[in-house]
Amino acid sequence: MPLIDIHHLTKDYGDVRAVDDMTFGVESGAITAFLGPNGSGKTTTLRSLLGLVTQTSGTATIDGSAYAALADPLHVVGAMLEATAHPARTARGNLRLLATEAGVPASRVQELLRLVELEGAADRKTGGFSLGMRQRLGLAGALIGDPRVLVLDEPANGLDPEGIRWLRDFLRGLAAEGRTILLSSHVLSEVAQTVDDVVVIGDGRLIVHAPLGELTAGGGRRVHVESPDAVELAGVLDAAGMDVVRRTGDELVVAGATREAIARLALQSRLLVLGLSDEADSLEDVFLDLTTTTVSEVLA
Amino acid sequence: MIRLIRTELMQLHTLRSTYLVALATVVIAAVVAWADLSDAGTKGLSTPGELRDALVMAPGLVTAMFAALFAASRTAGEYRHHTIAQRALASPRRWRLLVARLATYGVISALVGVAAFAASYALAGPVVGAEGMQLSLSSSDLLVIAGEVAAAGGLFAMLGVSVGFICRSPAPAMIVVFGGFIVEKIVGGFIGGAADYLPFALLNSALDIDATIAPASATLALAGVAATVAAGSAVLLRRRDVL
Repeated sequence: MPLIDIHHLTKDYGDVRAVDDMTFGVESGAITAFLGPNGSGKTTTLRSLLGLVTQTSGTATIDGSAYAALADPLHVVGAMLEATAHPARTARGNLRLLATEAGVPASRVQELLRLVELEGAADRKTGGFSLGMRQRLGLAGALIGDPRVLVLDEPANGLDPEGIRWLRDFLRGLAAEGRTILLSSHVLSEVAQTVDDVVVIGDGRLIVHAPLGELTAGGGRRVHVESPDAVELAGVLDAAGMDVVRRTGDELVVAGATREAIARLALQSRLLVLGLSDEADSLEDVFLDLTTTTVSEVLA
Repeated sequence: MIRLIRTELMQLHTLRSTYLVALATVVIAAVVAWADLSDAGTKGLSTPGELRDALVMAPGLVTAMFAALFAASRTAGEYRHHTIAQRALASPRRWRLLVARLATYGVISALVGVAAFAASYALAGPVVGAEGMQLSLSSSDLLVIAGEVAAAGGLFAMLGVSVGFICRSPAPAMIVVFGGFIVEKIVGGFIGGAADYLPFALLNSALDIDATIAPASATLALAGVAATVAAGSAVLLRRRDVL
């Protein structure tokens, strides 16, 4: 049984179905990205898992138990939700409060402030914090009970490139300690460099759940072509029934063809080709393909 | 439960406004009592009973009102600042959160009430004495009054906590507390003797000011009202999603 198990989870808000028969699992020790467009049901699913939202049907369990049934939840699961720090409290005050709730010594607060590099701002009120600082404080809060499972809702949201890099290293470090991490995100390119597995949802339904490598493996589906005669070559390939999905300057991306077939056509047409390479789909491509398809299908 | 109560105390301790509100309650109660009793000896404020009522009214009513408003605002503020999610994560059985908060705010407000009464008495004694009169209160009288003020403050704080959990937004919660007073005055005119059992009427009786019910009975009835409202908020707290 997966460590985190979402099983036929459904949640209705009145007439609106926010989560629709969702099923997936997160294995122990993995970092899993939970992706979906705005309003797709990510936050509702995570909140159901954390017992904050009561599902209409189905189950959401951690190590076989509903969150509410965990004996000492803050020591099992650490959660980072949207800004949950009181703006009039200092960073240290907010963490001291969490330490008291978790029943951990106050020394843990200083340890976490150091870990998330907020020591210098420890005694400042969080109302004046930047989004990045609030995210770091949220991460520190999630770690207060030294939990083995982390549920993070949009941890990269609003971070600058330096912050995202810091977060990536930070999460990798946590995973190396054997923790299981489920994180939702919109910053797809950064998730791609951080996660092991990907769960993509749309309109409250599971679209795909797969290891990152499997999901993004192009397998020759697309070929990247570099040619000074890109315009003419695009015409030739198109006439041959190949799908030129993108053209930027001297570069083409061609779907439904092999490198050899493209090279032969270019040779026959006496067009110069400087480079041919298989292109793996980026996670962003996969995400957009999957979610766009789903929305279109629903509209149809 | 002890951990939850410690958390509540830590929550109060880590916000400066807690101390400001407590100090304001004590100071305002004392100043109002001093102002009232500076008219000692005039008509309506000359008998020991009238002097006693004037001494009790300020700390009793100020503490009760401030405690209810503070508790309602602080509790509803948890939703405004989304900190309620963290509280619910720490205590998934949410009724325990309610109980911890009721106990903490109840006791703290009772203590503030006692401090407000002590400050009022300390200021009022010399003022009344300057008018050639005496408060004529024995030690046991003082203890009883302190207990009444403490109970009033504590029970109104509990009402405020419950209102905060029900309303989930500070402004409506405070309007309910203020509005409750006005609505009670209006409704009271239509329901005859039952009006004596509405919260603010019970507060007066519990403080033994124009009491229509014996203070002890009024305090018990007020505790019943607070428990009923708390039970309602517990049901809502359990049923509602934390968004």
